Parts: sequence; structure tokens; C-alpha cells
Amino acid sequence: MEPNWVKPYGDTTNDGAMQLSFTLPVKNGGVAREAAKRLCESMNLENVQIVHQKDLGGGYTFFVVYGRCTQAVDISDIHVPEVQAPSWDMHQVNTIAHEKLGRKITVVGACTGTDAHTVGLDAILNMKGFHGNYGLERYSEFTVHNLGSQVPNETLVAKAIEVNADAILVSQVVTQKNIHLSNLTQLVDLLEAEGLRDSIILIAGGPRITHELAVELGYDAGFGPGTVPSEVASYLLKELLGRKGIMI
Amino acid sequence: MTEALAQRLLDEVLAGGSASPRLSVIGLCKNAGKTVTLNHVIQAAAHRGLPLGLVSTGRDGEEQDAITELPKPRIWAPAGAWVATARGALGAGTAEVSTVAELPMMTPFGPVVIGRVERDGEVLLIGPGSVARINSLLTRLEAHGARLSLVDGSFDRLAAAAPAVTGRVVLAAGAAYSTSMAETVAQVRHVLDIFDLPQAPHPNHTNPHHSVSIIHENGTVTAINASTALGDPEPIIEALTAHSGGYLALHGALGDRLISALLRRRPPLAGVIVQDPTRVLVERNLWRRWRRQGGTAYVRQPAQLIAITTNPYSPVGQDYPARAFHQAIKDIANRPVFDLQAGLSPEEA
Repeated sequence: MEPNWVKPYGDTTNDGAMQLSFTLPVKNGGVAREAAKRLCESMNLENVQIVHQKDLGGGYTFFVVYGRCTQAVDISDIHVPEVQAPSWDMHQVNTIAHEKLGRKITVVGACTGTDAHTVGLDAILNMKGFHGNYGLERYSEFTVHNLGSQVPNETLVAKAIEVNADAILVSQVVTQKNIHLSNLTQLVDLLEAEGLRDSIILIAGGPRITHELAVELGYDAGFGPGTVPSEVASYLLKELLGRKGIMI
Repeated sequence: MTEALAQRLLDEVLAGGSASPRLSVIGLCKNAGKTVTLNHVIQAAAHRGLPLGLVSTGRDGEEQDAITELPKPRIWAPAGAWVATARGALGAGTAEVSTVAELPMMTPFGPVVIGRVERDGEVLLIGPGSVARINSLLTRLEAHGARLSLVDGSFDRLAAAAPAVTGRVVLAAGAAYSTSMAETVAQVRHVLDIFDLPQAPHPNHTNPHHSVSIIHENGTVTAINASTALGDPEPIIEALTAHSGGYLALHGALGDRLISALLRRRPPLAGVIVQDPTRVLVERNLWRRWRRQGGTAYVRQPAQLIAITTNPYSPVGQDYPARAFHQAIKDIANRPVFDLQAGLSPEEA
């Protein structure tokens, strides 16, 4: 593939203009200013300009610095897998689901294991939604069961079986501790053990979840920070239609 | 030394008598040493000219860990091996791979392709998450001529160990599981206890028609009205009590909630029968308490956990002394235990 090198954009293409802000533990004054400038130069920035300098008290100084980046990045070489989904809004999802799928979509969601961080899950499921984008509970074609926080995987799977769910949404704050990952992988193994893995759409979400990681863990899709409910709804609908052989 | 050890491990792998054996490598946790174990088996098989089939249930052979950003070992594939991986992963390794088929099976890195390794080198394996699809890939690899198929498990997932998929397993036990060696040894013992569950004693026990049922000593079956054994355990306890026991037969998973109820309520019970060891997903301490109280379980189809590899190195926590860890696992293993990096054999004293 043709390389496609890009640099930061300021006023003109590839001028490399960057803005940095940081604090040095140095008393405000000429020494602090020169220290900030030399630091930026040692980062290979050119044309370094200190455009703002403020005394934070206690021997600390805050800086805003402009400079020209000397590096470029080849974006033709980057591959970040993302969930492939149409960008339908709530009304489009409801209309298409009603016309093409002909039945309501049932989802079960929970923060599993010891996780009590429901912010992300609620942003997707709660009626009020997130960022001006209504949650799935507001969708006429969705039936939502939000089990809340600290739900054992077994309870989540039992509920999904009880309500014959189309999808399971798990929210998890993944840290480097194995326990959070084990929670996520155990859910996959539970679904495999129940013989349900291929009949349920399994979605993970959380501040450190990427689509790539979710798939690696055995999930169908992963959604990270900033995801709005309509993205999840569109993905689910497209996937369900695809499994029925209906391509849109 | 390690080459000879790897050959011995391969002997264990091939000892099942199958014409085209399948092996899954499962990890006690992430970074337990699955890839290193896999590479040793691959090299030993290459040395014997055994055509390999390679597939991963997640992603393996990447340079960097997706979570910790630590460097990871890469998978080496010899010329003549067959791989199933995502199309987008083909260019990621140093091996030269020619595509022979593209399948309608999607991953985030494009569709799964079947490829033949033309020149030795590293490969990146990206596979589908579901074991039903892994199973269909293994069948394809074997149709192309793979005589030993290896499934690299992702993280600590064990579903690919099911007899319906591979049925033969090597467990990678690593210090990454816990900073406490005793804790790691206890978890290995837990995994072994489940994989060593005896086969169900009665022929009727082999054909489950119901999600949950009671099989009586005389062979008659009473169905319990439950679509899963993961939900409310009360109907199951009541049925066992009403029928004065028998074997509780499950089609799906055996989990914490049911075991807790069995421990607490102690209904009459001859034993629990599950399909295979991968259906038992019970927390270690709870399982041990139930077992100590006399709880017995059986499998309809066993999966053979044939060997254990020990890895005393943890990229996230504390390392163990290699010999002490190898010995501690040997003491409980009742099967060959290898430290393939340090060159510690199953007979090492």
C-alpha cells in the first residue's frame, strides 16, 4: 500500500504545529522559562515558543508551549479493528427492526463479578442515555433487562436463558489484574458450556475495552469510551438481520 | 536437553492412538506460558516431519500484549504446516504463507483463511472465538493433511478442551496466576480434580434429553422443569428430595449457585453428571468444600489432561524458584510435568 505520512496540522498542511501544556517544579521566572524551552527542544520540537507561563505557587510553574513536531506517522500502516455498524439513529433502528426483523430485540446487561461501575452500562441502557443519545430502554423495539452491578456471571446467563435474550451486554473495568479478564472469559466459557455461545450476541464494554480485545477474549464486539447507545443498537440490529440472512 | 524434553512431551501428545490427534493448550491464566509450550510442541513435531495444523481461539503470536504492552513470544511455524488465521494477519509474521481457501467466517482482521506455510517463520494466529467454529476449522485443516492439530487457547479459556473439539489438553501453569506459589498450586489441583472426574457409571447417562434431569439407580429418568442449572436451584433441590436422590444429570454448565445450594441443603444425591469437564465452572474453595463433604461428579465424555508445563516467570508479579515450583506441581500432578525452558524433566528430583 502507498505510504501516507501525516504530521500535525496548525495553519498549513504538515506544518507540524503542536501545543503542549505541563507544569515544572520550578519557581516562576527566567530559569523556569528556559527549563521549559530546553525540555521541549530535547523532545525534538523546533521553533519552541513559550506562549503562556503562570505561577502556581509553592515553587511550581505552569506552561503552554507551541512547537513544530519533526516526526511524521504513516497511517497506511495502521490497522485498528472497529465494530462495523451502520450509523442509524433511534427512529431508524426502530423502523428497520419493526419492518425487517418483525419482533422485539431482547438484551440483558450487567456489570459482572465484583465490578460496581455502572456508569457505562447505564449510559447505554438507561432511558435518558448519554450525550443526547437515548438509551436502549427508550427504543420501542428493544426489551431491556438491566441487572445492575456486581452480578455473578451465572445469574446473567440464567437471566438471558429465562428471557430468551438476543444479546448480553457486559460492562467491565479491565485493569491489569487477571481477575477482570477472568470474569470476562468465564462468561464465554459458561455460554459455551450451556451450548449458547453461537446463538447469543455477546458484547463487552468499558473504559479500557477495545473491539480487538473483546474479540480476543471470545466476544462478538467491544465498545470503548464515548460509545453512544445508537451505535450499540445499530450493531445489534445489523448482526441479528445478518444472522437471518438479511443484509442491509 | 530441552529439545529431548519437547520430544517427550510430543510422545505424550501422540500417545492417544488417534490417526490425527488434536491438542489444546490451556492456560491457568494469561501469561502462563501457553505460547512457549506450543512452540516446543511445534518444533518437536517439525523435527519428526509431522504435518501440523495451527489455530487460535483468540489471537496469538502478536509482538505485544494488548493489555500490558509487554513483549510476547511469537508462534513459529515450519514449512508444510497448515494454519487457519485471519486474512489480515497473514502479512504480520516472517513466515511465507500461501492462501488455499477463504472462509465465510469473520474476525475483526478480515475473514478466516486456510493457509499453507511455504517457508519457516513466525505466524500471527487470529481465530474465531466460538469453539463450534474452531471445531469446523480443525476438520478443514485435517482435510488438507494436518496430522497433529494444535489449538492455542486465549487467556484462561478452556472451552476448546471439550472432547467434542480437541479432548486432549496440556495445561500451562505459570507464576503469573498469583504472587503466592501455594495459591497457584492449589488452582492447578482444582483444574486437575475437574479434568480427572470419572466417567458416568450407567449407560443411560450418556444421552441427555433434558437440560436438567434425575437419573434413578434403575435407569429411569425424571425431567426437572428448568432450562438451565444456573438459575434458581430450588426446583432442583425439591425434585431431588421428592425422589430420594439419584444422579442429577445436566446438559449445560454446573456453577457456583447450584453447588452452594447442594452444600447448604444436602438433598439426597448419588452424584452430578455433566457432559465433560469444561462444563464445570465452580469457584475453587466452594468446589473443595463440596467435594470434602462427599460431593461426587461424573462426566459423560472425559477430556485427557495429559501433561502440565510449569513456568516460574511472571511478567506482572513475582517469579518462583523454578525447581521448587516444578516439584510442587509434580507432587500433585499424577502425570508428566515439564519445565521446558529450564529443562526440568518429569523425573527431575
